[in-house]
Amino acid sequence: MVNSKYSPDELGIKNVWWGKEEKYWIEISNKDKNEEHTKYRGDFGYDLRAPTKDWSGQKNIPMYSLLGLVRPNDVIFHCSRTKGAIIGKSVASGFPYITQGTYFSPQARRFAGAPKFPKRKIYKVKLKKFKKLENPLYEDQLNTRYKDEIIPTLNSLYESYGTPEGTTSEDISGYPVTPNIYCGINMFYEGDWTKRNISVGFSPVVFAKMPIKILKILNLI
Amino acid sequence: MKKILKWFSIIVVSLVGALLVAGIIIFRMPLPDHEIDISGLPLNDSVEIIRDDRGVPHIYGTNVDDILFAQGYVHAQDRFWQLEFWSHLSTGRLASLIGDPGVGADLLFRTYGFNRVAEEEYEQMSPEMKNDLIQYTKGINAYIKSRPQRKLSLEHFFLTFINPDYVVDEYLPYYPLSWAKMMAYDLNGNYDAEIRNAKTYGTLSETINSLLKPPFPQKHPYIVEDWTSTGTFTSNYNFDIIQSLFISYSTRDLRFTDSIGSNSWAISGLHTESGYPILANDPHLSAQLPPIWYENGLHCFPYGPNCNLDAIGLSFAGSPYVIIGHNSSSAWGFTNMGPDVQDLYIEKINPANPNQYEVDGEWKDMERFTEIIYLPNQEPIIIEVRETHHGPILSDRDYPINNIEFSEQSRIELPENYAISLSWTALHPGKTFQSIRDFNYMKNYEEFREATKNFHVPAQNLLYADIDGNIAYQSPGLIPIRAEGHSGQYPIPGWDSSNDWKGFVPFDSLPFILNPESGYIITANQSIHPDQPWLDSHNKGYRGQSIKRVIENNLSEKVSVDDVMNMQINNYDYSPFYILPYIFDSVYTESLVLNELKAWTERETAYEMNIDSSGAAAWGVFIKNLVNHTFEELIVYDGSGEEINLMPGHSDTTIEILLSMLKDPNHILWDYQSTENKENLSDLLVIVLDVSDSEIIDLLGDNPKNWEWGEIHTITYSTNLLGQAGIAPLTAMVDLGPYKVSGSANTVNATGWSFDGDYSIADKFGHPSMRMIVDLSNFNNSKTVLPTGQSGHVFSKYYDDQVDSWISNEMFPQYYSRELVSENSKNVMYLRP
Repeated sequence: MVNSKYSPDELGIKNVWWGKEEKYWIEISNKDKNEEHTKYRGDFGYDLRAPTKDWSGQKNIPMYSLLGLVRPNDVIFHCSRTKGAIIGKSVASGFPYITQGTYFSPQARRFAGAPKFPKRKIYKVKLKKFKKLENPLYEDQLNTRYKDEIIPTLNSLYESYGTPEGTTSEDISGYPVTPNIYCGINMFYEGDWTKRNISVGFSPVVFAKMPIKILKILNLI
Repeated sequence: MKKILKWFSIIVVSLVGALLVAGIIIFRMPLPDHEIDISGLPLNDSVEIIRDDRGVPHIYGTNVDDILFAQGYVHAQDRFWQLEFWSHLSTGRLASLIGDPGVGADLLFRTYGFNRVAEEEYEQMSPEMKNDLIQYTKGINAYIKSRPQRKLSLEHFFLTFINPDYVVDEYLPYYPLSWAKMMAYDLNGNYDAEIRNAKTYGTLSETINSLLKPPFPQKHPYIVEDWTSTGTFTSNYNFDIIQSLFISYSTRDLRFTDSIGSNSWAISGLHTESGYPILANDPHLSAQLPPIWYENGLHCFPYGPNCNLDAIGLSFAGSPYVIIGHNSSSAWGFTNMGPDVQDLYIEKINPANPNQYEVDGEWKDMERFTEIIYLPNQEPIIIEVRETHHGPILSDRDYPINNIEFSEQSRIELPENYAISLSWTALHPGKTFQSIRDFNYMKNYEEFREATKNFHVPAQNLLYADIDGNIAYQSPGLIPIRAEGHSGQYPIPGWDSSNDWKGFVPFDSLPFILNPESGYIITANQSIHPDQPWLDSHNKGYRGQSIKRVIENNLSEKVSVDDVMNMQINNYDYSPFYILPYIFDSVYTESLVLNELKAWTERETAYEMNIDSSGAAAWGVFIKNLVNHTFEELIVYDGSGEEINLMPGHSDTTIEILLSMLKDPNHILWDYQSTENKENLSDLLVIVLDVSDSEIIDLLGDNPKNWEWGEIHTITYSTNLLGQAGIAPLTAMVDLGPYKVSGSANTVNATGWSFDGDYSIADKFGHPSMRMIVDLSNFNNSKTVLPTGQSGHVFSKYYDDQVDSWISNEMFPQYYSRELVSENSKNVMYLRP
């Protein structure tokens, strides 16, 4: 178990399987997509932000509240959706904290009719030591180079630790939550799922854990 | 095939060889000839310059004009790029030298008008001063003419490619005066805090507000214990602090100047082996390469009534005289005094005429200046600088104040049409260089005190010792007397003239002391006296107390120069000494860091931030995490709702705040207010120690026996152009480090590091930019050391020859007598008419 500032219970996170040594996370974002994103959410490596609750102010959204479990000196990989690649990494300079801030969520706007750049309560983690990867890791490479190693590793992680309970797809409007927040690289069934045609790719969530075993396969640590 | 390979190998090896040779030629090209003998210079007589085994020039001339000419010449020989860069920076011409990256600084400094004030100051100088500056700059200009531009420095060689049209200008006599303004900018700024205070006005509770303003600890020494105030300047005390967010300590300590400070002390003959005083000084300025100081000796030879300059010590390349050092009778040193000498005024602007502002109900015209910033191969940038009677309008620029954003962000009332001007003592023509000149010649305490009257900006704690056995201290400087009720901590209405400064604290009301009973005087940026006529100093006297400790520890026997040398690198830190007993009483958890801290306090080297200390490493990691996690939720919001984090910096003020909180295990700031639980001190410490364990294991491994403070506490010296050009091989060639270093922010050996970075000494933090000890019984026993070396040329043997000594504090003899200089002569050069 890890000493975090917020308890997994208050964050609505079930089945925290990792210990202190598992200090790696991934931010998967399109914040570099256009100027508006950059202005309001900062560039990669500046900070991480996530709403503390859904727009009703009542419910935790696990892929957001997961941010509450980051610890100082944890390493965050940055995945740019617009580039389709892991492009850099940073280090958390402190614990997360709650503040007023902007967080732009495409889903929130689409489904909740949220204003464009509203101020709301957010978790924030300041980052330091941003470093661009000399060789970005593109999503294509996950399948062409690493798929055969990733799939059994993910399966063994799920077998060892189980999948989280209690999270449902309703939290993020249709995307499967489980077990995406537990690893930033996921398996996807292509076409007819019964044929077990599996590919790997970046998780559809915005923030997730990155297990050491997966990072080693990807030569990221 | 083999033949082809053979020829290919020969060609590759030849090319590499040719590149290497070319590189060596290029890097050696700017090296000055320290053994030249040149005639035809605009001199009255020949000047002999003897360089010793550290490349320190000892200049011997028959008249002062020639000596200053030679000083300019040797400064240009050894530090041309530095003096070129500094003079461009301080006069707002940096972009003409380095292009776009210089524009921001030029816009700011042209707006301040350092160039305009320096020129005005020059015009108001005495004929003698003017003449000295002219002679000095003639020496620099003679060197410029003596060689092709590309051979002046390595940087100038590269400039021929990146800025081919650049032509080195004549060095002008007012440039040294503008450099003094830069030093004032570095040491005496607080207007950015006023901007922030305006954005956060009234957002803190009274409890937190008073917590952030710890008083000066009574157990720590003031600079002057025995002095009676002769004036009352109630306006500088009497203001409403209930609603205020910060006072001056926090605007400095909680932001950026935590570790900019300095040490100096003088021990009288009562306590020394020789029976004569010893004076020590180490100013803590940012790490630069080459170092900020240049050592030199200025000697009339023969010395007599017609030529009586005989000074040695540290100077700035690009400025005449010895700035800190001694002459044949007296020694002097500086530390920063830090009064608040900047105020922002909100000016009401005439809606019908934007160049008019209101004073007592009437519109007045602003003064307007056109400034042209030249850029290589681009159209020049032409700006207008406007000034009210308070000073320049800062809000005409995007930085530091953008008018539109400030209107949204500010929490103070603003008129509809407004601008913000800056009143700053440095923008008044002053006479600081006259004062420096007089120090070089002074013969006794009375002359010292007289000379200090002209030391206007930046205000420094002036320390003095002489061969008659006197030790003395004087506060100098222009200290504004504010309108009653104004603290100088917020922008105030400029349209009401009763808010204007009422003048400056008279010199006779500034603290001083001569030969205190204790037999020593300590200045380390701490409060000077409880009745000092300005707001309490930002510094809480931890270094002052540490210096007192090492002096007192030595008083059982008589003190020698070597003892003082050891005092200067003392690494005892009062922060863990005060804090750790509370920690040990408050937490019981399994922690490597906690165990190591407990073991440290029982060792002989307890609380010493030594380079090889595992306890020091544990303390560094622990205190950083403790501060970060205690204050990370200390957030307020400006008028536009943007977050401003009040995380304290690395200073003794922060330690005092923690000490106050540690007395209350349930203090509100121990609690993470955004969590569901209410944490107390013990809860927070469990998390802090856990995080500290993780961090130190990452950094130094999981065996405390292998932890060494110097592994993480390092210093790197970077040159300001080539080292930061982003070309790795070039950076590797010109930069120095990282080197392991001892000390910390609050130790006598002050090597500051940041709570929001790693443990290395970032260039924004101070470090001992030189160390000097003057023995008034025999000047030849005096010692100095620079952080790197005398020369700014990377292939010079004097580029980095002092690094190891600075780290390990082996100091070098400062040769003063002509005999000793000759004995240790390495090169001799002559400049002749």
